[in-house]
Amino acid sequence: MATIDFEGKRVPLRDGDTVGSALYRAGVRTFTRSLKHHRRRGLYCMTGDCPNCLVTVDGQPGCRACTTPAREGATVRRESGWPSTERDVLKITDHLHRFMPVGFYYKVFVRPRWAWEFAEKIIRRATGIGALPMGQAPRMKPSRHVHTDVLVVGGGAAGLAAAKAAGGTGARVLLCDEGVPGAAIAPGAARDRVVALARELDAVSNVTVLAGHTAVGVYDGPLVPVVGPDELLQIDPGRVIVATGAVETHAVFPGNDLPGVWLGRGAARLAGVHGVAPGDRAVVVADSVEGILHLGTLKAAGVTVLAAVVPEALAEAVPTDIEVLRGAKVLAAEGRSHLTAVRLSTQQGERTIECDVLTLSVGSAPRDGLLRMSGDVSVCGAGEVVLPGCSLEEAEASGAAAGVGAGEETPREPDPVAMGVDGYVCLCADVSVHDLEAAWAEGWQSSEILKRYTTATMGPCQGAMCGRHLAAFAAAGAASSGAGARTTARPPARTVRLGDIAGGVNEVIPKHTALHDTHGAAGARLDWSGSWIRPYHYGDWRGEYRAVRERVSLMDVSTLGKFLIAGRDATALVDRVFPTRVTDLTPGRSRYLLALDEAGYVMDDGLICALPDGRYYLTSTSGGADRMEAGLRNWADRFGIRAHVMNQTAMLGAINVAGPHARDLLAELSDDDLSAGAIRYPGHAEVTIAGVPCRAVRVGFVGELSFELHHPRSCSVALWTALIEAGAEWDIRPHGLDALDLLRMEKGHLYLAQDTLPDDYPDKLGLGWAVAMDKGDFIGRSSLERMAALPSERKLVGLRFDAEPQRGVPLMTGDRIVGRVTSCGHSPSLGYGVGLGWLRSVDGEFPSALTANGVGCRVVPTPFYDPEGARLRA
Amino acid sequence: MLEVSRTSAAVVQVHAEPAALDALAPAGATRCRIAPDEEMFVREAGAGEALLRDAGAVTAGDPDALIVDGTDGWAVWTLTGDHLPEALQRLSHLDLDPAIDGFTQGDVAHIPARIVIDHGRAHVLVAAVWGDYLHERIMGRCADLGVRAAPGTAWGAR
Repeated sequence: MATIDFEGKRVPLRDGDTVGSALYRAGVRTFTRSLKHHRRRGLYCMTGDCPNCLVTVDGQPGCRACTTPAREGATVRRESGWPSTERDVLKITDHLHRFMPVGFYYKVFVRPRWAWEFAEKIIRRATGIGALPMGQAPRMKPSRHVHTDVLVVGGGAAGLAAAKAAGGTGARVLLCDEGVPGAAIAPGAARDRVVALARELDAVSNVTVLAGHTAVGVYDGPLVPVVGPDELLQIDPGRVIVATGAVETHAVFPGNDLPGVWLGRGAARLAGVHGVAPGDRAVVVADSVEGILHLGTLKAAGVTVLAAVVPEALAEAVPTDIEVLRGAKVLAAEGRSHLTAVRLSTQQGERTIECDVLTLSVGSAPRDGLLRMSGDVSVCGAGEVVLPGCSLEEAEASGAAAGVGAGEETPREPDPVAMGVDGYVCLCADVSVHDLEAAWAEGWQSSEILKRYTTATMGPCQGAMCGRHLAAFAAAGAASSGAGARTTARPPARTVRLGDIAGGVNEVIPKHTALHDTHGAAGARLDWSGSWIRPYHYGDWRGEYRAVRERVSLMDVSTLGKFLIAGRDATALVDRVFPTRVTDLTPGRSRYLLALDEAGYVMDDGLICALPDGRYYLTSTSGGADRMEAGLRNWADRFGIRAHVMNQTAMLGAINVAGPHARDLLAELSDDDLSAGAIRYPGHAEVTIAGVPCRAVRVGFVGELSFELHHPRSCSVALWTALIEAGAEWDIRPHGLDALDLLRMEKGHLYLAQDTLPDDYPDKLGLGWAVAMDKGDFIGRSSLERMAALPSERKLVGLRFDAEPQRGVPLMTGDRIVGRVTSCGHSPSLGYGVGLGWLRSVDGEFPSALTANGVGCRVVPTPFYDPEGARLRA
Repeated sequence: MLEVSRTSAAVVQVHAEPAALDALAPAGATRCRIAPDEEMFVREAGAGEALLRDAGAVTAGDPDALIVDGTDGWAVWTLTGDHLPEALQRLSHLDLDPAIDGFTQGDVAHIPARIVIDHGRAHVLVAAVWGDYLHERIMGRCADLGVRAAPGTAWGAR
C-alpha cells in the first residue's frame, strides 16, 4: 500500500488523497499552531483558502495539506509548535493576551534599540512558519509566453460554461484550474454537471484546459501569470474571465478556530470526495440549499447529524431524523484541544449540544482577488465570484454569457457579514474581534490602516477569510464610506514559491565587444562596467599605466556610443541639441561635446567629428549610448528636423592606441600620413591600419598622444592582433579600466556618475568652457541662464593629497564636513596623491585647505599632469 | 528536436522618406520595416555590395537618405525544428507562429531583437554585442527541448 512519511510514521494513502485527507483519516486533528497564540488549528476549508493546514512537504514549507496531492513516499512535517505541534509549550501565549496586545510589534522592544534585534529572532522562531529549504541548488521554473483570445480562470460550472461559449465563437481559449475540474466537489448534481461540461470541452479543439495550473495575478495588459507544476506561463489574453467561485463565509464567534469547526463545503469535501468522516456527531448550520445537501453527504460518511440550524424557509428540507433548530444562532464553540460542544441561542433559550463537528454554511465570500486586481475592461467575472450564493444553473448561465462577452458588469454584493462578541477574525495572524476593537480605540479607524496595524488580511490567505470582516468592521464604525472599503488586492492571489517568481526573469544582460575572447586569452580580469563586460587589468595595472605614459598601449573602447548623423538638417540638429558650437566645425575637425537635459544638467559627454557632406560622427560614454540615441531621435522629431540618426555602437569596434610611441606604432602598419599636421588634435581622418579601414580620432582622455581607431567590428581581432605584434618593439601592453582610472584622473577628467550627481550643470563641473552661450538656442540653455544668476554653492575641484588618499571619505575643514572625495589615487608620474571631490562653499567662500580622513589636502587646479597638454598634442 | 545555428547574412540599413523606402525593391532581399522612415534589408553574406547598390536607388526619392552596411552590427541565430513553437514561447512574449512567414520586432530573451519567420524557421537578429548571450540563453532555456547547436548556415539557404 502506498504511504507517506508523516513525522516518522507511515500513513497509508488511498486514490485521490490529499496530504490533508490522508492525515485526517490517520487520526491527525491538529495540523498547525496559530501564529501568535499557538492555538490548535485543523482542517477547515479544504479548498486552499485558509491558513489552518500549512505543512512542510518534501522540504517545501507552506504547503496547504488540504489541496496538496499526496504522493507515494512524500515526507510531511508540521511546522509550528515547540517542542512539537501536538505538545506545544508555547501555547502559554494563549493565556498572555494582555501582554501581547494588538500592534505589540510597535509597542514593545522599542528601547533599548538592540532589544528588537534580539527579540525579533525569538519571535520569528516562535511563530513557526516553516523553514526555508536552505542549501539547495538555485532553481528557476521554466517560463513561456502564451497568447490566447480568452483566458478563463477557474474550472467550475461557470468557468467551463464560459470556455465552451467562447470556444463556440471560434476563439482560442485557455482554461486554467488549480485542481482538476470537478475532482474536489462532493458527489452530487454539481459535480456531475461539472464533469459533463469538462468532457464536452475535451472534444473542442480550440479550447485547452490546463489542470493543476494556478493563476496568481492579473497585471495590466492584461497579463496573467499562471503557475503550473513544471512551468510558469505568462499568458497574454485578449480577454480574461475570472470564475474563481466563492469560499463559504468564515463565521466569527468564540471558539470559531477550534479543530472540529468546519466550513460546510470543507466537511462535505472530506466526507464526499475522500470518504473520511470529519467526526462522529455533528451540528450543521445551513443558510442555503447547498448546506442542506451537506447533511446527506455527512450522513453517508457515517456522521450522526444531531441538529441542523436552519432558517425557517429551509426547515422542511431537513430530513426528518435530524432535529431542526429554526433561526438558532451559534454563541460559541467549546473544547480545549478539539470541539466538544456547541453553545446555541435557540427560540427556547440557550442550549449546549455535545458534538465533535460543527459545519458552517452561512453565506458566500467571493474569491474576487483576481477580479479586484485589475481595472482592465477586458477582465470580467462569471459565476459565484460575481453572483455569490447563485445556483448551479445561474452559474452556468453567467459563464455562458461571459464567454461571448456579455458578462456581469456589476458584481452582486454578498450577504452582510455578522460577527459575534469575540472570536478570531483573521486566522492567519490571530486577530480577534477584541483586537480590532482595541486598534479602533487607539485611532486606527479605516480598513487600510487597521490592516497594517493588526496585520489582518496580510497572512497566507491574503484576506480570503477575513477581508470582508475587516471592511465591515471599519464600515460599521467609520464616519466616511471610504474608511470601510475593501483593502487593495495585489498579486499573488495564491501562494507561490520563489522559484516560480524567478521564472522568466533575467539578470542584467551583458554586452561583449568583439575582443571579449581576446581579452580573456590575454589573462584579463573581466567584470561588469555598466552593462558591458570589460577588462579591468591584465595582471599588472601599474605596468599598464607605465606603458601608456612611457611607451605605447592599447585599450578596447568599442563600448563607446557611436552615431552617424546625416540629412540636410544634420547640422541644425546637433547645433540645436548640444551646447557645443558645431557650425564652425569643418570636416576633419572634432570637438568635446556635452549633452544636457532640459534642466541644464549634464546627461552625457563625448566627441563630435565633422564629416564631409554635412554629416557628423558622434561618440558618447559607454553607458550613455541608448539614452543619446533616444534623445537625438526625440529632438529631431519634436523640432521637425530632417536628419537621420543611426546608432553604430554595435557595428563598429574602437581601439585606443595611446602613448608617446602611438604614432610610431601606427606608422609601422599604415602608408597613410599620420603626422600632427595630417590628423590634428582634436581631429580625425580616415586611414588604413594593418589593412583595416579606420576612422582615426585624436583624443586626449589619458593625456598622451592617442588615436582612437574606429573600425568595422568584424575586423577588431585582426586589428588588435596586428597592433600587439607590431608594438612588441616598444614592449606594448594593453591597459584596462584600473589603469585608465588613474590616467584620466591625472588629467582631471571626470567620470560621469562617479564624480558627478544627477543635478550637475556644466559650471559646477568646471565644464563651462564647453558651453557656447553666445550661440543660438540649445537644450538646457534657459535653465543655464537662470542658474547663472544663482551663487555657486558646490563645485567639483581638483585635490592634491599629502599622503595616501582614500575615495569616498568626507572633506573637512576643521570639524566641519564640506565635501567628499569622489576619485583619487597616488600618481606615479607626479609622486603624490591626486583626486577629484565635491566642495561646498562656507560663508560664500570655497575653502582650499582640507583634510580627508586625517590626510591633509588642498584644492589645486587641474589637469595635474601635463597641464599645457603638450604631450597629447604631439 | 530543436536546432540553433549561426547564420551569416548581409544587412543594409536605410533611413529615408517613407515614400522613397516604399519604392525600393532590392532583388532577393528580405525587407524588415523598422519604422516608417527606416528599413533593414537582409541577404546572403557577401551580397552586401549588391544590396548597397540596390538600396542606393532610394536617393532618387530622398537625396538625404542614409544607407549603411550594418552587417557587422548584427548577430543572426536561426532556430528550426519541431519544438520551435514552444521555444519561441519560452524566449519571447511576442506572438510568433512559425507557420506564418513575416517580420516583427520586440524582445527575445529580454534582448531587443528583430525576428524573421521564413518557411518554418525563425531568424533572430540581435545587436552583435549580445550575440553570444542570446545563444547562451537559447541553449539554457530550451535545454529540456533537446536543443542542439547546428553548423552555421547561410541566409536564404533551405
